[in-house]
Amino acid sequence: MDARTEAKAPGDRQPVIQVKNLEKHYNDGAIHALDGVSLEIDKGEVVVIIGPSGSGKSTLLRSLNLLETPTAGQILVDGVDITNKHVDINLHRQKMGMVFQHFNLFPHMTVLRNMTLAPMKLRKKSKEEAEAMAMELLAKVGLESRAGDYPSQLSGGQKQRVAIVRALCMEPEVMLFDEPTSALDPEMVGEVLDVMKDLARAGMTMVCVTHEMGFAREVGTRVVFMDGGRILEEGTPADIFTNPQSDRLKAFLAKVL
Amino acid sequence: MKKYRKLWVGLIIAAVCLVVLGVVILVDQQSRQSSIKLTVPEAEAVVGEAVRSLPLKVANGSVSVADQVKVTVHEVTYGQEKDIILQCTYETVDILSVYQREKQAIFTGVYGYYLERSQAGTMVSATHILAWMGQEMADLVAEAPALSGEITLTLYDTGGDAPELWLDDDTVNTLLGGLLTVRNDVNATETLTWEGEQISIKNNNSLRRGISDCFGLNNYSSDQPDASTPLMRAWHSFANDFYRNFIEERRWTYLTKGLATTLAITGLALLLGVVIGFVTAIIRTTHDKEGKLSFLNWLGTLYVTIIRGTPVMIQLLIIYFVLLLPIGIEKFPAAVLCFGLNSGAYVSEIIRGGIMAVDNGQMEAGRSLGFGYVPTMIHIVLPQAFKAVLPSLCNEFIALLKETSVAFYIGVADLTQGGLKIRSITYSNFLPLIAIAAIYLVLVLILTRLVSLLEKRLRRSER
Repeated sequence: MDARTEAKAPGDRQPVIQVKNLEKHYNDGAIHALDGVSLEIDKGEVVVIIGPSGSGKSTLLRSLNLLETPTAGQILVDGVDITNKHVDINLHRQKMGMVFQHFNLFPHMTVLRNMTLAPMKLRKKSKEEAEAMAMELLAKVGLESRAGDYPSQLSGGQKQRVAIVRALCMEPEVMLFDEPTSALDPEMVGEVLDVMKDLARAGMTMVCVTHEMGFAREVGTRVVFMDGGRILEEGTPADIFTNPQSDRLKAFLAKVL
Repeated sequence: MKKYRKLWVGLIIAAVCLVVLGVVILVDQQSRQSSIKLTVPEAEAVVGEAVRSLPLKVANGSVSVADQVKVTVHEVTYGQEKDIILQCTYETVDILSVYQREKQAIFTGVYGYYLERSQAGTMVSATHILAWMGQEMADLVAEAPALSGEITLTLYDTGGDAPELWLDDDTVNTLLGGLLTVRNDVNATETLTWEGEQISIKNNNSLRRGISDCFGLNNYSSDQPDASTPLMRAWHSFANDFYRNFIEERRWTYLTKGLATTLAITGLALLLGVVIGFVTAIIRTTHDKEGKLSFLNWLGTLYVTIIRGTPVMIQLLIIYFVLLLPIGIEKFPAAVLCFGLNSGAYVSEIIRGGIMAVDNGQMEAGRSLGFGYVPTMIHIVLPQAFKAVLPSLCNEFIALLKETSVAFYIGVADLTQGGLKIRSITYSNFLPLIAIAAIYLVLVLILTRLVSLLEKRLRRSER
């Protein structure tokens, strides 16, 4: 945490992602999942998005790599507007790793193949190179012995750890986490959060939608509270958790803490 | 042990089948042994009855050779089937030697009688001829030398009250002193020499009939009594039918050639169907997922709707007679095209189902790594979809194999047509149709077995 505050010295701000007035409508505008969201994320930040379900936090996160196509507004990644149709979104996605609630490992491939597929096909890495990197990452999350296994042979926590290192194999600048622990049995949540904490400490820029308030408080550099498709409050974990301003945040915290 | 359970079940079923077969054979054999036991005098009585009842009267009843036959039985044994075998001594008169000696004289005499009567202006009928010859023959038989010898006769237990004597032609001929040889000779020649000239009497009806009737054996026939059991009769009839339907004139080649055609049509149609089905499925799922390719999707939907909404036989008739025959395309490629198009529609729905069944998260995961839509499809979605639908595809193949049987409607010489061809030659229904069904069934069983092995392998690789 201390190292992180240093990195965030004034004047050193260089937003990796800038979200400007993002809107997402469903059913011909009847539902506003995002209703004018603006957000800046700096390099090395760990932004934790919290909020009740249906508040638009997942939609916001999925918009950041265009898994959801926004109805209006802009998303600038390294200064490039990725909502522009002429931008090659596939190149941008390579810089943004994503971890899903339901892991989405490829069941027909071994753990190792899951991890080496994208680097080999998209980064044109050699098999040896890709596998060496994958094994190194697997070792970091304590799964090097499972490299030859298929996803169905792994527990939920193991699957999610593999999903995280699969994304890391593409050496992303930003990691997006979409409720990474929600589908896990309680005893497996810890092992996944530990990996995420290590990642945060290593300086990875992270955007994380989660219900793990402990994680938000401990690792987050900024907490964003969303409700009704809007950002209602944002600030340091200390501000949000100990000094909530809006009634809705108070009510939300009262329920989840 | 569990691993071999199927093997054990198979062995037990095979063993039970063998036991049942054995029992059937035993019972059949039992029923084929004579239940009648005869003493020597009883056997002699049966033989005497049989000989006396032979319709063997020479010259219109004036002489009966059968009256002069005496048979003495000296041993009774029992054979494999329902035979009762008798070793006998017989005594009779040697008709053959008399006939050979006097043949020329008799024929000349009867012709002289005929000429004399007809020149006198009298109508000469067959009855007149017979009467004149009868007297001559009676004298000859009375003078004929005695003949005796050993002979084996066979009684048959026909399941009635008494056993019947089965006398074949050789036996009858022996017992009657060569009378059958005489008859055959008379019927074969019926020419005579008159004052050094060969005269044919074939065209003179009364003369010919008069001579033939004199040897009185025209009503004689030697049919073996039917002592076979129903099982034997069924087997003989089956074996005969089998021979006629499959062996004779190598008719089984209709089936083997037809089978080859059926397999070729099915295989080629499957290839075509998989290609068409795959393309259609990709178009339709891409439209569903991405909203692109509207026109192609409309076309694909139309194709699937039409093919799935009409009977395959009508499709075949339309494709061949309406579309392809006018431009001179052969039956075989027409059948392949039709069944390819037909199976393509079903295959496309199977593959489409498989693609749609792959969790959307797989697509998202691929896209989030930076893969485009097409590479994600190729590397991530399609392998999973194919694995999931492979058994269904194989079942479609099995269904296709059976469906191709309608190809005979446009005259393709497939398995069905081969069988029907045999049927039209032999006029039998049972064997050709059952053979067609059996071949299809065996093919389907083999394929089904392969599919289940495949499914097992796929399941193993998932674990």
